[in-house]
Amino acid sequence: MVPSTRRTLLHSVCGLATVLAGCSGVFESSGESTRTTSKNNDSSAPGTGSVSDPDTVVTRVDADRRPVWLDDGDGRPTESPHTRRLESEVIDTTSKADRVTAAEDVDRSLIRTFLDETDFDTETVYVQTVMIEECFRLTLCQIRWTADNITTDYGRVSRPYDEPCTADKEVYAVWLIRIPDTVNADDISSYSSSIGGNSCERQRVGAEGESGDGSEAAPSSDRRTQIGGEQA
Amino acid sequence: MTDEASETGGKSPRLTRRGVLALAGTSAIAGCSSIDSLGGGSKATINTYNLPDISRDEERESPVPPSVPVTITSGHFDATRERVRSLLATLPTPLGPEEIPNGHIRKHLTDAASDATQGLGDARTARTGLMALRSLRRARENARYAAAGWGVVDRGLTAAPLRDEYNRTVSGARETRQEHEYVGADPVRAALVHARIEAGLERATDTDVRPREESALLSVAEWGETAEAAQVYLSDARHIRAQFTASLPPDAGSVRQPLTAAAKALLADIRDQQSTLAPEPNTDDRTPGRMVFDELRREAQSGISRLAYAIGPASAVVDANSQLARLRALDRIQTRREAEELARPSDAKTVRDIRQTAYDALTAALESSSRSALARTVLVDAGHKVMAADRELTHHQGEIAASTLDRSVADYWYATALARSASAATQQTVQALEGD
Repeated sequence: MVPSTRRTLLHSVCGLATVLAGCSGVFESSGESTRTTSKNNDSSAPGTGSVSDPDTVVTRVDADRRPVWLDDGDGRPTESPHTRRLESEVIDTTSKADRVTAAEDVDRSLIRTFLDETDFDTETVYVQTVMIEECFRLTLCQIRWTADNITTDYGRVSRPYDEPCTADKEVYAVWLIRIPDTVNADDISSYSSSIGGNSCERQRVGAEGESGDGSEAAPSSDRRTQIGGEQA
Repeated sequence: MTDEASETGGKSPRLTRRGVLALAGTSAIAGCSSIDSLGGGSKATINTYNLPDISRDEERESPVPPSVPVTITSGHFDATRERVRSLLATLPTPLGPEEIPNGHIRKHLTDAASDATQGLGDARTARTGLMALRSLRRARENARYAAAGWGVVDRGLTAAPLRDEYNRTVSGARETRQEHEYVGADPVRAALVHARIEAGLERATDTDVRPREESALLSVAEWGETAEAAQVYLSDARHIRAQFTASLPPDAGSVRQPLTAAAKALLADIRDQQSTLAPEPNTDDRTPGRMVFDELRREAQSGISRLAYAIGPASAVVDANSQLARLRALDRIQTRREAEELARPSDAKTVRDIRQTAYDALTAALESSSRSALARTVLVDAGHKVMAADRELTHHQGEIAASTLDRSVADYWYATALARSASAATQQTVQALEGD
């Protein structure tokens, strides 16, 4: 039996499902090969849908304040003890996309390209910024949206043992997720996010992670994916 | 005073100077409160300074450690210690970032190694042989966890051979269980020893193993830990059985029949009592008196009621004994509630008295029971309640609402009622075992 301290730690770091900012991990990539869009299917109301493998850009930055933000003339948000562990923004217009700003240590061109490639007449970009533990990786299992709510579900695993990282240290992870639907930011009244205690490989083929024998699978080479921060 | 006396009273709570000052400050800020309004009721406050002085840092242990009436040999302890040391010796020293760059995974292994070493020390100071076995079992599990995790890095260890090892141990434990003979002379001692053996073999054959997928390396480490745990449970159960058998007179026979008969009789009585349990109160009051009543009632209802639900006849007897004690404790609590003796304490002295009463009840029960080894199994549970209540008390600081202490107070009352019920329940169990 794992001693209570260690086991408790494992479970408390991230339980079966942690809503919103209760838990975090290291975001990684999502590929395109297994995309299974179900937006506006027969069982869904108009303006609702879900995607298990949307187009994404992910960046991870060791910083003391948010590395990607929506410029409102006040500059980059300052560090604060009250900083929320999860911030969400809905980018629903080109003009709003132009206000998305990234710090110098972020690969701005990838973010800009991702936004520029988005057709805001038919698509929306959902930006989630999360404080996560450096030694963990998250995979996006699914994003769901309705007229007034956006939900993301992540799976969480430890990074491979041979990747350098510091226990209990936190970094910022920023996900840009393309929703293949028009979502009006003003109509969104709530966001929710869950993080499962395991990877979402069972739900989604192709998620990266450690293989069963302890050797490591290579990160996705998806051109849309950036593994930033200390791995860059 | 004892907690049998009324704690309601109309007296104002005793206020310390510090408490008055603190409250006066609060009043000044609020601008409209009155110090005169502090007495009694749900608004009463207690200054934690006047509560029992319990160290927060202390690694709290139950005042009544579990035990088994068998002598564990020093050779068995030595072999386990040697196993722990040999597992730890496979780890590099130090185990640093060069060996495992991932700090999170490295920390799990180093923590486990540290816990294993700690377990060796705990075993030396354990108050009973059974406690020493538990410490050493955890030490072995932790040492194997660390060793298996490092084995992934060092030699590409995978989970497969560990799963195979585990499955072999499970098979061995099942065989041991099937062949187990309920030898004994004194049926009470036999019940206690065989219950431990049954529990150990049950744990060794527990196939509900689901290591997490969080990390491949840590998953292998967990399989190592699981394989080791099964081995230790089986090894300890076999040792207890061998030691017990060796301690018996040559003409000792099987006690299966008296164990089974006693279990059936006791469980039949429990079913009768369950069918006539006091009804749940309709009111929705959340007081410590109600909390302890609800908890005991829930436990009295949910305990095993048929031999088939037990892991063996000996465990059924020991469990039934605990159940009977809880049913008696429930009666005690109900009587005291009806006499309105379980009002929420409104001052620190009453809380101290309630706690002291719980400790006194435990001590008296340990001393008075003629069959203390069986009564002790009940008192271990009562001791855990006291320990939990003590731990809860240390979480509070400053001037707090009296209701904040409800959980601790309920647990002290629970422990008191259970301790005072242990002897009578044990007498009934002993009579059933001895066929009186």
